[in-house]
Amino acid sequence: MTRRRDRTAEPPGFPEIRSPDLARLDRDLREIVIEERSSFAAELRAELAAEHARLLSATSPYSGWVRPARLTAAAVVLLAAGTLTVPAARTFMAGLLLPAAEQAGPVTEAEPVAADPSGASAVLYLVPETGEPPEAETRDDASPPPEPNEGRAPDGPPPAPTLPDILDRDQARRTVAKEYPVSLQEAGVGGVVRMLFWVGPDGVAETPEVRNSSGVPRLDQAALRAARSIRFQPATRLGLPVGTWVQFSIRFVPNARGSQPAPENQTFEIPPIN
Amino acid sequence: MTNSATTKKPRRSGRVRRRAGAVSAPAELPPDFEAWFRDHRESVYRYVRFRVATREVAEDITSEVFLKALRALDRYDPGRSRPRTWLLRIARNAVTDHLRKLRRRGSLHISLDRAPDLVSDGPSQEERLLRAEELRRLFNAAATLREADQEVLSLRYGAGLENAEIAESLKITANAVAVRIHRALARLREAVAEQSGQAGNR
Repeated sequence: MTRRRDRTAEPPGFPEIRSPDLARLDRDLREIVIEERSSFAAELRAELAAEHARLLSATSPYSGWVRPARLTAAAVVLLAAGTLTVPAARTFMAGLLLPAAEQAGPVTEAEPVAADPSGASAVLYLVPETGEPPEAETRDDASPPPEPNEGRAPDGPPPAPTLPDILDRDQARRTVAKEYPVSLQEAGVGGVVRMLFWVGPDGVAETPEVRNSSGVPRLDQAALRAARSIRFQPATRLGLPVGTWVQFSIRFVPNARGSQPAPENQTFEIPPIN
Repeated sequence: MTNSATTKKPRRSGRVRRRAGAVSAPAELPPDFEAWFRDHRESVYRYVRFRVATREVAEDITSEVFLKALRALDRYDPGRSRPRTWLLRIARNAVTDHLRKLRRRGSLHISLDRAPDLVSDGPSQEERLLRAEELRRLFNAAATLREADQEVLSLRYGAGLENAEIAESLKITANAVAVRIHRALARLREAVAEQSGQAGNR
């Protein structure tokens, strides 16, 4: 009731503040001056102009899902994951990619394993995972097909392919923590940045780019810097290190306590800097 | 390390290079947007700065606001709102999202005592320092108000909107805006008194 009476008692329009205390507060609040960082306007203007240019071009990130390069990268990652982890998918993908080897059963890799005993060169065939005899495919029509068992590696099945992993998780955590801007930590600002980059056979991450932004440009930049510094155990194929594209996420958590770096395609958390 | 064909890094498309070139190229904005940026950037920044704890966060959110506005430019309807009101509506949503995230993380209450960008116009250095300290206390007290009060005070004293513009932004009448501001100031006065009392008891 009291509130209702107060409201009706106020004159229509009510632009001015009559109480001296409130008038002083009103004056004080008007006096607050907020200094903008001197280069902020120019930086933001440049960022907007770049964004506008991207929107105008056919290479806009907003049409990114249909860009062939992105699709190709996504297909490579999916193909690798599917081929390496699920036996049924391995068979299916091998059937798609290697029609000549359709009868060879589950396949991991096309590999020159042995030379034909007759002297014909460049005998290639697929190394099956099961005990089915491999089907030969030669580049020299005159040479006879090799015996099934000759195609096997002498020491049994080849080593399973492996995916990249973080070489030193503690070091990786320290690296990410070092890149996490202190001001953002103090402000309680965190987020997840998903990146795509190439892990070379030497374990070095190259050309990282942000796939899913955290929404905070400085966090994205920190994640990119960290990705370049983290060292990885490279992927292996037939026991040899090979390069591969990797999707990798970094989660910046201002209030997290302790963390465990997770393998590829997962996130790892970092603690705040004390 | 093996340097076989299988380990050779695939060629990247030219898109990244073109994108990088776009950043460094002399860039233009749509004329209308250029004018909005020139005329309303400060207003948006001040509004955001009134609502969040640090200059860095205010810069990030202001950037986000203008980027969102640029992307949604073709959806702007001049018949429904003025540019500044539209931009501030985006800013309000961005700030709300930011505060919601902080609340979820339990890190909403952040000391503002180190806010270095609050200054005052005073005749002497000493007076400026004292005045800046008073304003800092006022700013701290305002941060303890409920969100609706902070909202209306930020629109008025941060963005510098007139009551009619605040009314358009909040979709209420100008009279209601005046009443809300009056009540928010009254609550701010209590908060300042409370903080002064706590400081005196220490």
